[in-house]
Amino acid sequence: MIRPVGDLRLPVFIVTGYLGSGKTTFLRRALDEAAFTRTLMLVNEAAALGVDDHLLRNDTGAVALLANGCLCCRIDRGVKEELHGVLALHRTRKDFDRVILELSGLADPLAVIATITSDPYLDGQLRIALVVTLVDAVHALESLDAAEHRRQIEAADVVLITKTDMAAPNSLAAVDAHVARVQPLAPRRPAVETQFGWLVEQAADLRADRIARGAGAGRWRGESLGPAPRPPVVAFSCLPAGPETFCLRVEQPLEWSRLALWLSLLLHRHGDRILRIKGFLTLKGADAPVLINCVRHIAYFPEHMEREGDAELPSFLVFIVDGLPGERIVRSFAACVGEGTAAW
Amino acid sequence: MGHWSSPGRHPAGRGRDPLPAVARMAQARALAMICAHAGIAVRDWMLTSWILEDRAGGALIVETLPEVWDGVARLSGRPVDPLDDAFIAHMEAGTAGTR
Repeated sequence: MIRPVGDLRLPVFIVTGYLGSGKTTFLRRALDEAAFTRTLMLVNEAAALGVDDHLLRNDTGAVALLANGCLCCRIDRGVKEELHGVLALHRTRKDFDRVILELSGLADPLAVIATITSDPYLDGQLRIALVVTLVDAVHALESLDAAEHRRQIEAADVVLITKTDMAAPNSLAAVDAHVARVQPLAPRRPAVETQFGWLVEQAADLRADRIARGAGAGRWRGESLGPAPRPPVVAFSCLPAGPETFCLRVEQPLEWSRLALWLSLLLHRHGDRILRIKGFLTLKGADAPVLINCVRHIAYFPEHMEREGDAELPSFLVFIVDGLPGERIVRSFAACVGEGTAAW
Repeated sequence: MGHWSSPGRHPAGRGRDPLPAVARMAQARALAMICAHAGIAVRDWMLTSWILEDRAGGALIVETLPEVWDGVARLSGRPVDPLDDAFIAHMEAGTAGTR
């Protein structure tokens, strides 16, 4: 079990998926669950008169509608205002302790994530707990080339495959393979077998565990805090073509100030070609590892994590990059962040 | 709260954060070395802003790291590229010189 420590911000679950992928069906089913009783749901629809919020409105959970345009088109005012409104509501009414944001089928979740992480007040009050992307096993193959569809999968922490009972086996396999290619770090599950309550319980594990399992063996903590002549960094390639996935393993605790500078510079300069950076790192002076999670130009605030019964994990970052030389990223990391560098 | 990369938001955990001024000075030293590759001097101002200066006397005052990167590009005429061979060599040489 992994859980964020000392983070009192209101968790936000972003539910995204292409047009007709089954988001509303999934959430309607979830409304009956006990986990939903203390949940505020914001529904984003392209139409001025919403349909989904009527489908979703019930007596137990609060549902609000972000109508009249896609979230991604209304970033400057709409979403910010709605989220500030949610926080104002949370201050006066203590009857919800999580928020679900259902995005319209054409929304780019990265734009919404950026709205939250770039607004100092929202970022201080809201924590993006999980990005859930629904992918339709029957029709997804027709929209695989759509940029919105691809971005929704790239941003996912977990992918739920819908309509698995209606899909031909070869179609299901093709959709599964496509999702795995676009976002190899996100677990894939049939939506019909997934309860919302389970997603809430497992949010931290879903975000962190899979990358931990995939990173190979090694020491979770460095053996000593002493300087090393060079950072022991190992890179290996996982995919033959398309976006390149590689893992950078670090065996020494790192200086946060240098790591933050390097990540900030890399995302600022090359964020358009960085599909994902995820991993655990041990920082100097920290009593537990931090979860690093970046999508494109956006870095989530590194979460301080506590792991139970899992002391053997390595310190590592997994990169999914499109057209960036992995070898040079590793060299740059070693030169800028690596252990053994007393000062820059 | 500030930008995620600001030293005041060290994710060390409860009670383990370094003093903001100490973390800021560490970041200032590291930042100065990066910006030196572009010929830009950078220094902290009151723990809240960064002052960027070029050799011709041009200066900018910014707050966050993304603004620093934009400012360096504006003053020097080219963005700092962390994957550029010359930049990596500059950082490697600087690192070796401080050992």
